[in-house]
Formats: sequence, C-alpha cells, structure tokens
Amino acid sequence: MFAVLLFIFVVMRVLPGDPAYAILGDEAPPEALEQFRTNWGLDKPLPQQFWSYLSGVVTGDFGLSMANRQPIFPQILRAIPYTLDLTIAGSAIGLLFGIPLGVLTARYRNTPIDYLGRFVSLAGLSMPTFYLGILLIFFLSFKFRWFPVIGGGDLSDPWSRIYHLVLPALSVGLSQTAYITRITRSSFLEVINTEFVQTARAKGVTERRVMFRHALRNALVPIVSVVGIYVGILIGSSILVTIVFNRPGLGKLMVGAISTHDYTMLQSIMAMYAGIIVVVNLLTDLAYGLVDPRIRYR
Amino acid sequence: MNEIGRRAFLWELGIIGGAAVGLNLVDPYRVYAGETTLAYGVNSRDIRRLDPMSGPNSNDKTVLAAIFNGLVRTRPGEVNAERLEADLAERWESSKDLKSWTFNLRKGVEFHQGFGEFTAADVVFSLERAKDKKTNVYYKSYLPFGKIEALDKYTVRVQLQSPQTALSLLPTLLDWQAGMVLSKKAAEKLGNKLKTTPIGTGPYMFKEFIPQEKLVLVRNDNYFRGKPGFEQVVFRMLPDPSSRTIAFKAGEIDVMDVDREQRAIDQVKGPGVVIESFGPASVHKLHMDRTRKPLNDLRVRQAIAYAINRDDIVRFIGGDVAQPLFSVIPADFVGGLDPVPERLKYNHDPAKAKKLLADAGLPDGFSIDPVYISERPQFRRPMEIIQNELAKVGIKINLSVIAHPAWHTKNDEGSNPLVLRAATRFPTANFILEEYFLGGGKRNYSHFSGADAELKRAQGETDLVVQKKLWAEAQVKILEDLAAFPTHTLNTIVARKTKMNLGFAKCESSLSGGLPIKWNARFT
Repeated sequence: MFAVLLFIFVVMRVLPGDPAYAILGDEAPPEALEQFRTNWGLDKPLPQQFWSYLSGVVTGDFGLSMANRQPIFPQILRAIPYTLDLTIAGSAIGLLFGIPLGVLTARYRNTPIDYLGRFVSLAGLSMPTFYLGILLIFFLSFKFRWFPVIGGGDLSDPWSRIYHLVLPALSVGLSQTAYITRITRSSFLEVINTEFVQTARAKGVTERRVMFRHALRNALVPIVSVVGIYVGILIGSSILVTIVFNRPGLGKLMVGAISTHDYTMLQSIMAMYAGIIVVVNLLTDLAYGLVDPRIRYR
Repeated sequence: MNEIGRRAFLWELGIIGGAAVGLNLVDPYRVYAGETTLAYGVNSRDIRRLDPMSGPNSNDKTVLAAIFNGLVRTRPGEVNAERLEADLAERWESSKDLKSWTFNLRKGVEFHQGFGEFTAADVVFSLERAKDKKTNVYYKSYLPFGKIEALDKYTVRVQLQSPQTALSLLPTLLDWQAGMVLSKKAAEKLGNKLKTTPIGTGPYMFKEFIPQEKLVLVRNDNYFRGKPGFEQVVFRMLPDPSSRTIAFKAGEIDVMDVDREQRAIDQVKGPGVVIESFGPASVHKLHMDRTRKPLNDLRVRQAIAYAINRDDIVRFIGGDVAQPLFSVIPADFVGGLDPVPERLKYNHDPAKAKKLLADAGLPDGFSIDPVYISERPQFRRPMEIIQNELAKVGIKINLSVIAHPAWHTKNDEGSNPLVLRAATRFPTANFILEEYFLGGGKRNYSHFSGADAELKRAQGETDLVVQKKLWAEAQVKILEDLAAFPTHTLNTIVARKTKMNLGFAKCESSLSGGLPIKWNARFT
C-alpha cells in the first residue's frame, strides 16, 4: 500500500502543468497563483509534501480539495453510492442477459440463433459505452422524454436514484452483456461436451436438468472470475458514461481532479480505489467457493 | 431448452420495459427547471472559490454576483467605468485633492442568514480585508488605500495615499471581486468557514454546494430592491457540451453557457431560445518575444503581422462570436485606441511580408521550433490558422500542443517565443496595458518596455482626457514596435429560454463573465 501511495504521489507531480492555473483559471492575477501555491504547500520540498499526504491517509484525514476547498472525505463518501449503483446495476443487466444469451448461442451452435447472438455480442463489444450512452440520451431522453438527461438523482430517494440510473446502467450493462455472452458461450461449449454431461443425458435426465444443474453450474466458474475482474474495471471505466450523463460518482470525481490537477483529491481517490479493488478481488475469490463446492478455503 | 430460453428472455425484456414505462408514468423528477427555479448549466466542472477575494473564476463570479453587493455597481447589462451607479452606497463625494472620499450608505439593508443590518463597520472590515495581502489576491488595487474609518453608522471615509479619480477608484468598490461587501459579524462567527460560506446582502442567498454537481441559491425575501423573481437559482456543473445542450433542449436547464464557436451556437439556436453574445470581449493577441532571434528584428515581427489574415480567424470561429482586433485594447473599452491609424493595422499582405523578410536578410524565411500552444480549441485553432498563413511566406513554426496549465507554465517561464494569450479584463485600458506591456511585468511575454513612461504617467493622472491620451499613445507605441499583434476578440455566449426575462433591456456586457442574475429577472 505504501508503494501504491508513493506511486500515486509521484505520478501526480509528474503531470505537466501548474495546479494553480488549472484551478484558478486564466484570469487569475499572478498574486493569486502565488498565494495558492503557498497555501497548499506546493512550494515545499517534495519529501515534506509526501510526508503530510502520508500522515493524512494513515490518520484518515484526507483534508480539503485544492479545487473547491471542500472536505474530501464527504465528497468521496457521497460519490460511492452512485458508483456502486451503476456497477451493481450494470453487472446485473450483464448477468441477466448475458448468461441466457450465452447458453442459447452455445446450445444452438451454428444455427441462426447462434449467429444472431454472436453478431449482437460482437456489436455490443465494439460499441463504446459512452457512444451508446449518447444514443440512449438522444432517443429516450430527448426524443421521447422518458428519462432525465443529467444527474444521478437524490441520494435519499430510492425512486429518484433508480430513475436516473436506468440509462447509464443500460449503457454499461449492454456492453457487459456482450462480454458475458461470449464467455458463457465458450465456457458452456466446453462443458456440454464433457463426459459427465453425456452420462447425465444417457441416464435419462431431462434436457432442462442437464443444462441447468449439470452444465451451467460447471460453466459458472470462469464467468464469476470475469465478472469479478469486470466489476473492478467497471468502477473505473464507467467514467465516460458518468461524464455523458453528468452523473456523480468516483469516476467523475477522478476526472475532475485530473483535469484541475487537484492533487489532494486525486491522491485520496486513488488510495480509496486501491482499497476497493482489494475488496472486490476478495469477494470474487469467495464467490468461487459458492458456485463450485470443490473449491474450499482453509 | 428452447422454451425456457425464450421465456427467460421475455421475462427480462418485460421487467426492463415495465420499469421504463412505469417510471415514466410516475415521472416526479423529469423537469428540473421549473416556474420558480432557474436552472443554469455552467461550462465548468466545479465552483472553485466562494470567497470574492480569493480569486474566483468567471463561473464563481456569476454565482457570487447574485449573493453580494458592492458600494457601487455597473448598470445592468453594461460594464462601463464612466457610467457606474449606486449600490450599497447611496451617494459619494471626494475632497478637491481627490485624496479623501466619503460614502453615504443605504439604510435598512440586511445581511443574509440573520447576520444583521449592513453598516459602515462592514465596509471598513471589507476594505481592510481587501488591503491585506494574506486575505485578498487583488490587494494590489487597494495599495493606494490609507485610513478607512466609519464616521457614523452609515458614513465611511476612505483616505488615499495618492489622488484617485472616480474612474480609477470606483472599479475597486464594485459588486465584483474584492469590492463585494462582506459581513463583519459573519466573519467573526464563521472564521475560516467564511471562505466557503458566502454571506452577502444580494438578492439570492447561498443554500448548498455539492461539489462537481450543483450549487443552490434561494431567494432573499428581504432584498432591499424588492422581492427576487425566482424561489431558487440552481447552478449545475455541466462541462460536457453535448449533454449541456441536450439538457437545455430537453428543458432541464433554462440557461446554458455555449462554447465560443459558431458551430456550437447553431446547435443551440431554435424557437424559444435567445442567444446572448456579450462582452467584455476576451482580447486575443500574439505576443512575440523581442529578445529572441530573429524576432528581435522589427522587420521580422512586421512580416509576421502582415502574413496573418485576421479575417480567416474570424471566419473560422464565426461572426456571432469573434471580431477582428486592431489594437491590444478594443475600441469600445474606456481608453481604447479609436481609430487605429491605417499603417498600424497591418492588414493582410503576404507580398509585403516576404519583402520584409528579404530586407531582414531572411529571403528563404526561417523556422521557430517549438512554439507551444494550449490544447484548448479556443487557442489551438486560431494558432493553427496562423501557422498555416506564416508557412505561406516561408515562416515555419512547429506547434507543440500541450495541456492548458502546462502551456501557462511555458509562457510564464519565458520558453514560448510566440504566445497567443487571451485576456478578459475590466474594460478600461489600464488593466491589460499594465499587466502585459509594462516593463518587468510577469506576463510581459514580449519583454517590451517602450511605453513605460506613458503608462506610469497615466497611473497618476487625474484628468481623464489626458489619461486616455496617454493610454492611446502607449497603444501606438505597442503597435509600432509590434510587441504583440492584436488578432481578434471573442464574446461570451450564453443561451437562455425566451420565457426568462432578464430584468433589464439588453445584455451588452457582464462583469462576472456569465449571464447576470438580477433581482428582477423572472419567468414570463
């Protein structure tokens, strides 16, 4: 973790450009820029700056954002539910559509159903999520006026959150679907040709039972690991979607912090991210045990 | 299997479709903008500074202008230092030697959030804070201020160390930057929190700020001019131009910042939409580093000037936004050079440019490598046009496109030979002239000091006619020397719904840089 924090700190300082200009803008007088650098300790030696960052992270005091002078921790805390909403909803859509579609295309391999399924998943993979987002906004928000264009909804109102979540979740969910469909298909194809599936069929088990009790359960392990990795990626890659929908979240906070060279904010988010990725990996490992009883942890 | 797959698929389709239709019927969150809420979509990721003295940018200033008042104000929709009017001061007078100014204050004005009546003590507090280098980044404008005293509850006297005309003094007391009057009681109670909790006397009061999302103001029912027209004003941070435009067209915002390009304007135009194009203009000028070879040769600088066609730049950006510029101060600024002598306009003449290069001993032209330019379209595109036109006369510039803040660093450290710098300043000549053309200045990218005598004399001059003449002479010297070649100006572009009445006739210019939200603005 120390290495991660040091890495983040160094990368931030390597970024070309002066945070004072990035934050205060073109019209700021030279005196404002000087005062800014002094106030935020940017004129101090780097080891001293790193030390104050490190002691902040260790004591849980992230301090103030350089860009807007507001405390950082509440800003991150506020962003997390929006990011989780989108990540969970996107993954749920991916699983809900992707697994059945993957099973279908595998079961009916080399038939028109398979071709159609593969074409759809290829299209889903090729289309950037932000572009899909713009299309969804254009048709569903602008033309039909079904959904809002901007924002993430009121945190304390679940309906408002869901209402604002539908389009962004669809944007990320559809590309997830494409991904999961392909993984499910290939994993399923491997399993349905194994001996135990053929044995099950030979002893007269119904086709439905063969598919869902025998084949699918065994095909789930790679799907779980893909979803696990993808959740990690999704937390970061949903950035473009959050920009298009102007949706709050960690991704948006991060982009804002990068564009304004907001060192204090970015360092805190990155530290937080590193923590989240560790947790997601742990959960993924635990999920293996759930889907495959042969995997046990001691 | 076939049956199950289809069934599962239809189920999922049904759930999603049902949710979409159901939510649409409920639809409680559909419209953000409403009859009593004004929603303003700003082209910014965030609001940065809520303390008027800590260097707010133009979006911040638009917010602050609705919260605070100054002793004087610009006329709504017009920024002209010669035509200011009363705000928190009812009237003012100066001593004959222009070194002592007395302000009679408006009575019965209340600060927001119960911080009590506005009095002379608040003015003294605010101006003392403005003088302090530690609390005000614009302290330099307040250096001439001496003793500031409250003669009684409603009278303030400001002693000056040097004589100041109304033209130079009153802009420091405007409802803008450090001229905004703060509450002494609020400062005592809030301490450091004053920097993020603006307490003023203006038509709207600060309610909440959710970083990178929105800032909400609510109506100040006690506003001294009358009851403001909106219950709430919500500033939404919408940095992405496409989602800002769609949100505007879908009715989620009533006012939006438009990118300074004809293309962006054409996308927003339509029935029920008013495009406001206003100043003060952003002045674009190409600074040439006179200490570098071959730019140290006047003939080379002249060749560059003759090679550039301002009309091409203006045509590319669009006539609703850009205008050609012939002096470093636009003609409509107080002290702008008007008319510019024909010989100093350097109208496009490539043949003359080539001849000048030959005279300078560079018949085959020369190259400059690198010239840095910001990645922002506002700078990059005109610079690419300039690059193309210079190439036609044999001057090759190798453009290095870099991040905007990094570009500023290159400019300030003196490693960029050609700096296309923009400045939006108070529309009186001295602001730009002193910042960019006074010898030794941090932003004097051309290293020019040829007009120092005129500029310094103008600083102490109390006769406005003489002062304007000195500013004009300084501009002639800048043009003769071509320390910088004025290229074009850009207006600020804001789109608003027709239903929004501004509360004044026309927005010709705005001090904050955004559309002013005046107390009597309302929906009709």
